[in-house]
Amino acid sequence: MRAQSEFRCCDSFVSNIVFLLLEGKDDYVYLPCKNNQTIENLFSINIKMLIFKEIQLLPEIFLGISLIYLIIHGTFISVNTRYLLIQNSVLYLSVLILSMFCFLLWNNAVECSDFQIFNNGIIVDFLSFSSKIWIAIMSIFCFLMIQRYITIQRINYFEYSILILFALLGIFFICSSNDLITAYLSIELQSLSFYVMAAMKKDSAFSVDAGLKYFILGAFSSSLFLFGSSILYGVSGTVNFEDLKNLFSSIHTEQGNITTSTTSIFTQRILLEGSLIQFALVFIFVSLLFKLAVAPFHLWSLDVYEESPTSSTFFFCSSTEASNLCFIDPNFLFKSF
Amino acid sequence: MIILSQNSIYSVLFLVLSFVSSSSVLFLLECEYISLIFILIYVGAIAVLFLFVVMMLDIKTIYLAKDSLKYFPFGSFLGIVFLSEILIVVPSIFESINPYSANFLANDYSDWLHKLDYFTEIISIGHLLYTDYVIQFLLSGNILLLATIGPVTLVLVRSIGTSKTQVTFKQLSRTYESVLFIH
Repeated sequence: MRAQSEFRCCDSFVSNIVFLLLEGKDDYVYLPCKNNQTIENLFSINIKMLIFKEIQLLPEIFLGISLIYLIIHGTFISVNTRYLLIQNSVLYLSVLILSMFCFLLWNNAVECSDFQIFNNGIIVDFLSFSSKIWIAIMSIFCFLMIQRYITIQRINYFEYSILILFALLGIFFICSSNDLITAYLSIELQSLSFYVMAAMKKDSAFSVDAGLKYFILGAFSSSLFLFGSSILYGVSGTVNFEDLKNLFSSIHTEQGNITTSTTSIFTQRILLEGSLIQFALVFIFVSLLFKLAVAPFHLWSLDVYEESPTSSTFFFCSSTEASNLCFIDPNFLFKSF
Repeated sequence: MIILSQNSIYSVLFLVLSFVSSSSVLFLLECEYISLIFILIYVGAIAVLFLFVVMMLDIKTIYLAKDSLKYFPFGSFLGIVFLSEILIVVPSIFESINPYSANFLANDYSDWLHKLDYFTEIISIGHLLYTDYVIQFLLSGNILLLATIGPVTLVLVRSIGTSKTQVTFKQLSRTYESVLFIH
């Protein structure tokens, strides 16, 4: 009997602790606080949710850390009077890293539900999960196909595969971004490594030309993205997609009875500035479509894709499109007017 | 003094002085973060860049003293316009908004709690940056790392026999006498 009371006491104590731990965060964790539940059950639910919520980002963190290790490894080996050619070994190492990334991602998939982590900056849902898995597997094949081209064309830089891995890190963050800041930073990470990859064949004037063109046009479209997002922030006061969705859906519901006095002042203001929101969304769309090379904005892609090394082109075509489409699809299309 | 000094390097240094004074005005207005960023960016980057450009271009000093009298009427006109703007705007700003301030009942207390326990801007920005926006912070760090790797990759020429190792003895044995001077 005493043991049971202690058990009860311990139970409530643990639930209090867990509640305190969870209290500071705005989340959707189901928190069972009933006394008749066993302590194992309580632990297995709460602690599991506690641990697995933020660690859903473990694959990306693993990729980033292993990237830094790879850079250190390559730098220490290649800066040498004997000038060792390690690009093939680094390429195979990056294939290994990507396959381990896939494994970690697959491990996460058990918990795969629709929730947001890191101050709602990262969304973990089935779309981001599946697109990440697809992009990782496809880029493993990309690596294996590129390898022979690199050997023949003598692109003897181990940084090539590191740059591809950086681009992939950016792409994975684009897939799971739920925030305009995260989206912009990851797009920049991806495109910055693509500029270097386009200019990678240093003895070819075409390649350098392609890198410069890609850099200027990419910077132009990024500036459009920043302009649009700053207008969106100025009008709505938030950069989070979830908040934007709530805001716009409330406007949609209140748009019908605009003449009645029940409409809030805030909604009236937003309705007045609705054209400004559309203006901002058009800018963001234009920049993303520019990066995707979709029909009215596709003329730059001919030059860049032709002149950059074929292996880089192969990678630009396959991965960028997928990631950007994944970003555009859920976040914007159903939130815009 | 930025415009009037004959030597262009001195004028760049006066520009630095004006940046520092404007950032100290911001500091007095309790905008520490903006003023520090102002010093860091304008003095640390842009003014030093100007200084390098001025030193590299090696501009001949032109004596502008006799020409300066020609621009005196227009310059004094501009000066009068700006002075009158300041004289119109500034007294209206410093008029008190609180209507009771001139009154006998003016509630002129000081909030000691806020004076003892407060966040500065830098503390709050740091708190936000390292807790809520840590992923964005790490991403921007990755971008900076990539921005260092990329140019090195594009520029560095690697071949057999050239090594980029540091020879400490060679560095330490350099003296100012063996350095080549170009006049």
